[in-house]
Amino acid sequence: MLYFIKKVALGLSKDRAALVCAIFITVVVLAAIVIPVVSHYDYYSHDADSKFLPPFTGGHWFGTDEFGRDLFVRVWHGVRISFAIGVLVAFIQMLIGTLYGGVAGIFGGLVDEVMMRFADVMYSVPNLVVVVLITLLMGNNELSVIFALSLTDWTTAARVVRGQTLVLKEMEFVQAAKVLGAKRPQIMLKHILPNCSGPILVNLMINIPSAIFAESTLSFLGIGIKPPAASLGTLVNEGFKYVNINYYSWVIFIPLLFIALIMISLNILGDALQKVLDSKS
Amino acid sequence: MEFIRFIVKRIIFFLITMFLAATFTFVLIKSLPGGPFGSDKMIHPQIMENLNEKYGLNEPLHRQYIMYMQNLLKGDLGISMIYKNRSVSSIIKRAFPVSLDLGIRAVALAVSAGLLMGLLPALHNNKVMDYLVLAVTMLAISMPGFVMGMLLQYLVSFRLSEALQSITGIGYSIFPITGWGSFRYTVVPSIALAIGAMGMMAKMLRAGIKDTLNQNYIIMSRAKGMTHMEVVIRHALKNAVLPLLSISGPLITSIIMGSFVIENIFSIPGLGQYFVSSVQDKDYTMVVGLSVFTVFLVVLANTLTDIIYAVVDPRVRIVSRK
Amino acid sequence: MNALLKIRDFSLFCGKNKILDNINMDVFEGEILAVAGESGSGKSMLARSVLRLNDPKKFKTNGIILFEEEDINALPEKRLSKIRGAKIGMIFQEPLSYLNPVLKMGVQLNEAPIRHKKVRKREAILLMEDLLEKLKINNPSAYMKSYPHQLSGGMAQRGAIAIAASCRPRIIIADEPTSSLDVITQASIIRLIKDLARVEGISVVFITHDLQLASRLADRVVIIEKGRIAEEGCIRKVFDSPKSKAASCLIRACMMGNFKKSKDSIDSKNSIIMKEHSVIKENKKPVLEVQNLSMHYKNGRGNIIRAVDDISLEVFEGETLGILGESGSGKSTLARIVTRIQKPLSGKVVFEGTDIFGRRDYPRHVQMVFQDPFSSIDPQMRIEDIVAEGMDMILGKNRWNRVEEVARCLQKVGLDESLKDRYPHQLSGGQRQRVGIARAVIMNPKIIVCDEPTAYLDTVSQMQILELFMKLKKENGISYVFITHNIRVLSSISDRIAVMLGGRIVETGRTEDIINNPVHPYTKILINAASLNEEESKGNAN
Repeated sequence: MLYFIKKVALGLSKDRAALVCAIFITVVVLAAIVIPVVSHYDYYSHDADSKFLPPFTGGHWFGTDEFGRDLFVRVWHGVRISFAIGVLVAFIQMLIGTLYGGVAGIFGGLVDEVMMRFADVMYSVPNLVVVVLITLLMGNNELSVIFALSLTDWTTAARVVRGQTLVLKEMEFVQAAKVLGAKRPQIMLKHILPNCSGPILVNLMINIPSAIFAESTLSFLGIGIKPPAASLGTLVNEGFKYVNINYYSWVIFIPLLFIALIMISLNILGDALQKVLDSKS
Repeated sequence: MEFIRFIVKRIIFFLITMFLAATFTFVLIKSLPGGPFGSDKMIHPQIMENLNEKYGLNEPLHRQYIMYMQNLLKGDLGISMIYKNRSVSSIIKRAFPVSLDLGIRAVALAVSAGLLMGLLPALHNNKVMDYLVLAVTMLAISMPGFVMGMLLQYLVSFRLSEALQSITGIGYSIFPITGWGSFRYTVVPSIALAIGAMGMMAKMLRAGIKDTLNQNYIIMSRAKGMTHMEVVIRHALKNAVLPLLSISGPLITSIIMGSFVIENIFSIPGLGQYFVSSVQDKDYTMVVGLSVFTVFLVVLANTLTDIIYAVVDPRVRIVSRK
Repeated sequence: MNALLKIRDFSLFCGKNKILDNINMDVFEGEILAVAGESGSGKSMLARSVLRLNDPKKFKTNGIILFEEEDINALPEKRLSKIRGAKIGMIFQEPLSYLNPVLKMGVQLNEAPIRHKKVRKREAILLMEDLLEKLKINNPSAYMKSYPHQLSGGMAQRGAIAIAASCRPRIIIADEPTSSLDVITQASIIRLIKDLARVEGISVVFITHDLQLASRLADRVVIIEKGRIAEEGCIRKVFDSPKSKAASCLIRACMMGNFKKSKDSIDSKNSIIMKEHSVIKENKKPVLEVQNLSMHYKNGRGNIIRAVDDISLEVFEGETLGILGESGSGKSTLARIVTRIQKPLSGKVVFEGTDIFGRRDYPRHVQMVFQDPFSSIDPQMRIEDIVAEGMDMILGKNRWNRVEEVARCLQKVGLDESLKDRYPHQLSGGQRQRVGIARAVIMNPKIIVCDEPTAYLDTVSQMQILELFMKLKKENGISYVFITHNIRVLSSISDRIAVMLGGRIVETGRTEDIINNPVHPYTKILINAASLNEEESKGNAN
């Protein structure tokens, strides 16, 4: 494990773009945790007197929206929700995927065939549709969005882990462990899982932005997080529905900018991680 | 022989997926609190009774299931529970051609631009071009469809049209903000929809060509006396394009799903528009019917691309046999 | 004779590393020149430099390579592409990776003649079919319609030879063209190259690590060591009285276990005899008995493959039993069953009187050393943990003298103690293989099953590993089941040999008997294909 962390740190420190992105993401996450707590505005109070204040007026750094709510706090609150959902969903996907793929890979044969065909079915059904159907059942709130998204996109992780397990199972060091007297669970824990951790981590890193992507799209369509609670997608959606983009463009473009920057940074980071872990040092 | 087996396998898989999807939606409708006509609206008990009668909701569950399946096979996806005279299939008939039109434009755009961009760095063989393509693809992939859509709408439909109007002095916008009609309506939405898929293709092609150019058979073809251009076009391109076919399923899925967003931004009367509005109206039967149709589309597209992939690449058939 | 190719003061750099250092050599018209060296000596880089195939971004060159009085390094790309494939052809090591997997053979074969000879496609096809026939391919038109993955290594290499020869080049550069092929195919490919060169009058530069192979083919040899020319001259002379250390090292490596009788032209002092015959007493009881073992697989088409088919054999205490067979003969499956990696379909393996699948302590008695040093040890574990793995599982991590035992074992296999904190990727192939051996030896086994333990190593570390095996045998009284396709290796270390073919054992006997008087025709072919004496191999090896 130590070796693994060292490898990642060393690899990332050589990639300047990835380093910048890592720092940016860290700052954004910290700010999203701190700012909504310390600010003397909150994200839900209306203020009829200060509607549509442009940025940097009246103590509102990002201005206010159609109800006079402080956008600075709303945006950071949105970042917080988007990140929380993204990370949580990606983690759950990783857990489900690793378990599912590991079991399929270790057992192989018919078990593997049936399990992977089912994963294929899940993969080919578009996640938006599944999420909509699930939110129909559970109502739209954070919990149902997390549940629905985790339930749909675990298949890539499962495929990756299963593929790795199948390859590793045939590797000579696993056979050597058998010759030394190791049983299946020992082999799984000691040899296969640690050697899968690279691809699993890469998959996790790729799944975070795609979960944020999916959540913000849902919220944008008005079928994700319900107002007044707001993810970045909801903010854009509200702006889109109620605000004339010609006059009050900041209400839409500030959250848009945040989504774009976060997505780009996370994607660059994911790519860099993949490159580091794929290379045979 | 192995090829026919592959196709049969894919078709069986298609049927199983559709069967599971249909069953899942059936279970879903049944488990909605208070049934499809329950929800939060107040309906007179007598009317409720009549409705249940009409849709066979008083029958035993397995009979309902069989009826549901039979209706699906006949192409009857149910009726809207809010607009009494609207059936799901009539909506599809009206909206799907619009979505298909938009989708085809976007796919064509994405494929041509994606291939071109992916190929550029290999042909030019210089670092600036490579970084440029890398940056553009990264941007294209990272931006969610609605971000791209709104940006383009704002920049092209508002600002550019305004600027042109002020220059020419004619009150006529070339690229309308919303709606669907003649060619000028289609340009901006198609671009917005195509960008994500284009980025995916270009990124994969670029990496693929880079990877293939390091393969031994490239050295061999250079040793045969082929020029750089010939090597890239004849040997590297085919090897790098083939894996693209393997992501064409997800790509088409992303375009279909992306069209939901784009149709909403540009108010295009396609499937996505109806889908989202029926979700917001809590028109359950409509949502479920359209969902089944969307799943059908996506799975069909995946199946077709898989089969095409197998036709073109001799190795896929071998691998899939395992 | 005219020098076709003149290399003068040629050096190749990769960053600051000098890969080739001041090479001066000539290739004359119609000759077959061998360029020999250890892996990593730079001989392949030299071959590629002749056609300027090295990536110019990574490698810088110095000096000149003159082909027909033109400097290859100064030519523009366009002019150069008229030499590549047309006047100088090239054959590479692993034929399948050098053929484009998505193009049919015909397309790839036609490319060169269409480009250089300006012929139409139909003429090119006729030309290539003709050539393929000369290369002993039975159905050329079917061959042209197949994809590379449908061909065996030997067949694919014939295609590659056809490509190289298609435009009647002046020179063919063959970079280890046979080292990825089995012995029998190897012999026939060598024969084809030789005939081609003689009949068409093409000069051949034959790059190899196997001097013995080179001596069957070449007139002259250039020996390269660490990027420099160490020796040059007539191959017989170099073979009989090598002047440089590099040459004698290569000779020693390929002569290892030269099993030919004394009438052979090679001086017997060159061959090293590592084997110390342990006399097997007739009344000794076998330690391990394999009884009527069978293992069948189903392949993709539903056909049953009898990987191991009713095999019985015995391993006696303190002996080395060699199992000889080509790839696909089922010898690895046999090893996997004997070491309990997989269960057999029928039959059983008995160790000291009891069935092995019923014994809990079996790992303490029978261990295994694997083929590929790069995949046989877990990349994310430290060396110490790798070596200790078996004992940890039996005794628990803290209940034995872990540190001392591991250190003792590392020392025993010739590794420095300080390596115990390293990770596998920090070690060389030979070192990794030693770790693999230490992992087996720490269990104090009675038998070690070795599955091609030297196949991935270069000739020098190959020899060292074999010496290590013999040392361990003497010190610890370990028996070996030594599985390999390499008859030279076997003849030098084994007491008895069992020959496997198609899942069956076709012949068993004492090593000397098998080598001097093989009975089964397959054994005869194997021995002749590997033997030095060319006249003998003519009749059998195709």
